[in-house]
Amino acid sequence: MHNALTASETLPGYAGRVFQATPGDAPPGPYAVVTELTTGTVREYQRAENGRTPRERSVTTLVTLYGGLDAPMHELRDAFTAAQELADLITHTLGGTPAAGVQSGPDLPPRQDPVSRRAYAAVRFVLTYRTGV
Amino acid sequence: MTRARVRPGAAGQLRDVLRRVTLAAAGGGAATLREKLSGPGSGTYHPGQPNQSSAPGEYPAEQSGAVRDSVMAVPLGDTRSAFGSVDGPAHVIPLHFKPPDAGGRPFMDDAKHDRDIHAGMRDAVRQEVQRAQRPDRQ
Repeated sequence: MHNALTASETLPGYAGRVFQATPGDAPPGPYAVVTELTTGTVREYQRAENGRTPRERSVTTLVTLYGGLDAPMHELRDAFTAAQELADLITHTLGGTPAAGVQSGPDLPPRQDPVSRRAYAAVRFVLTYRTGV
Repeated sequence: MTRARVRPGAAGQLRDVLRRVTLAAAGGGAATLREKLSGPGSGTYHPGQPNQSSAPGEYPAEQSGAVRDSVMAVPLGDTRSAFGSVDGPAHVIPLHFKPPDAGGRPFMDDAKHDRDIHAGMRDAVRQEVQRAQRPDRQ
């Protein structure tokens, strides 16, 4: 897992409200959930003399922002804009060497969720890193 | 100085081949993904639904079949093609943007690293190349 979790703490109004899993008892105010969605090899190089096989791998992380309970959707706009810029703060991943920076993936502008009675929005980040170097 | 002569019409033929090969790859990926989106999952059974739901980390289970049926390949210009959910049902959005423990099943993210889907794309390209090389195609 890279530092998306700590980076998300910088979102306006979300300090102390960022979770790695959806909380069973969600706070009435806004909160965010940071999830590592997929990780996989995107390129594999020839085995080196040291017996290790260098690989380029990518990890996709989803940051889902929830607004406060029954709060209007526009309250989520600033946090969503700030979340899109988190790519600049996500700099490292455990056990790997950064290879191609962080790319933004498909995101979702704020919309209402009738199930949770909250507005929600989401951004995706794809971090490419090397292993076996 | 060496000059290469390009046969008239060669560039057009190359574009045609690339269009067919990339579309075949996307079609192979779409077909494999549709198989993955068919049938029940291993999660909870919700009364009123035809199939058992998926568990977090799985592809979404088939319920109405609308998600599966929306997956198709599309050409993007002469040399690129893509596959994915085209004009899919509204719940494709939360499937891709909610956390998996809140019902998210981001099947296009999963497909990106799915070796079965990669194999389906390779097989489709092989078949297209073989088809293009048959004498009756000339």
